[in-house]
Amino acid sequence: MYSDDRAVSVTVGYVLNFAIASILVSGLLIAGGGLIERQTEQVTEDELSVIGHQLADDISSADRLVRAGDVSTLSIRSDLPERTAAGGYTVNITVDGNDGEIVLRTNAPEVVVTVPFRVQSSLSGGTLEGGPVRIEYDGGLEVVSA
Amino acid sequence: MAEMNDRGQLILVAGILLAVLFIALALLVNAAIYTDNVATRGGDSAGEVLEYQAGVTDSIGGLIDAENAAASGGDNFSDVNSSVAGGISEIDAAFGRNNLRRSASTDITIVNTTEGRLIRERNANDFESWEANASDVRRFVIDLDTDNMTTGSPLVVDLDGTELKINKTGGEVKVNETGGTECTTNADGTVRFDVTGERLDGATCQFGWPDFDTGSTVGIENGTYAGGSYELTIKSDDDPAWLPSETTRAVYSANIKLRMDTPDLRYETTVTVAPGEPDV
Repeated sequence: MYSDDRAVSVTVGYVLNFAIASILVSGLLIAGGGLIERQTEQVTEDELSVIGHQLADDISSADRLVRAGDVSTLSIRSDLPERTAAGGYTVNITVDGNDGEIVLRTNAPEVVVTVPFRVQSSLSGGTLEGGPVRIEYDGGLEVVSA
Repeated sequence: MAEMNDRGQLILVAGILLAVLFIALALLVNAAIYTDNVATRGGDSAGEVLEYQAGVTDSIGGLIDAENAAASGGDNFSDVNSSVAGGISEIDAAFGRNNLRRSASTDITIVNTTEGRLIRERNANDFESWEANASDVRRFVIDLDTDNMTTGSPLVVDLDGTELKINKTGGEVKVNETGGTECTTNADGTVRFDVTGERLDGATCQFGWPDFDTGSTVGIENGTYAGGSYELTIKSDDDPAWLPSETTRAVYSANIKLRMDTPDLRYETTVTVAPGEPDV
């Protein structure tokens, strides 16, 4: 019998090359995607933490100014970014006596950062969309969108 | 044989996807670096304002003391007051110019001033005895010349009923609050008793400064038992003729309205300037 299996090695080699390249590329893409996802989460957490501390710092500054004298007008602008690596975010301020918390949250990926602060003056809590805010004084402190 | 024009598409697509991944990674790294940069920026927005407020308060306090000290016995309150007002305008202009360089607009306005009396005796061999109505007292400092103190006989400082006996015994100067604190120091040369600061010769002497109010009095009894110098400013409109001869009409305090506007901040407040007042 005559068997016609000549030149098969070219096809086999091509298929093997193709398979190995596919596996390699898929592995790279999967690993890269995972890396991006983790880094996005990490960077967003860092950003929210810095934003929270910036806002807490400005609230403390406003508190110091209110306590430094008989304040009639006070407005401090806090230039918070409108977006993080994970997109828009919300800022929720809660106050219990002299202790307060700023909770910053993004949806996708869901990252939640809580920044505690202390305040001696009266401060109204509330929820805001991320972005520049103003800390106003009118008998008590209030954080409003700029 | 068919033409193979679509060869290499896997590599091409994979390359594009990897490029997108790298760009996304670069953007994330950039965001992280920017976040760290923002985190290390100075963010104390109250610092500049409080520095301005403290500067203005110190300057006006110094101005009030200087104008009070420069007044003569024949000056009316309005004379001293207008000198203080003129000085405050100059302070306002100086701070305004300085702050404009930092993109801040400032303004100082006098709301009102309070009349007072600057009571002092300088290099006296013995003090006069006196009593004055005073609804507040500030910067009461006595420099006792221990060589001119009568041993065993106390000078009495009466702070609205809180009597401080200042006595020289056994080579020491003793400050004794009736039934309370006693402080001592060596009777050597000049001894400073900062009455409002509650310090004797630099050391703490907490006798408990009383609360002054309308109808309160301050005075010195048995003045002949001690000499040296002293000075105090009281919130009062008593006739200086009844007080020690160097007494002059003075500005006790000033209520000042301060304003500061910067691109990120608006601040307006009213402060009372009464240098050396215990509760200020």
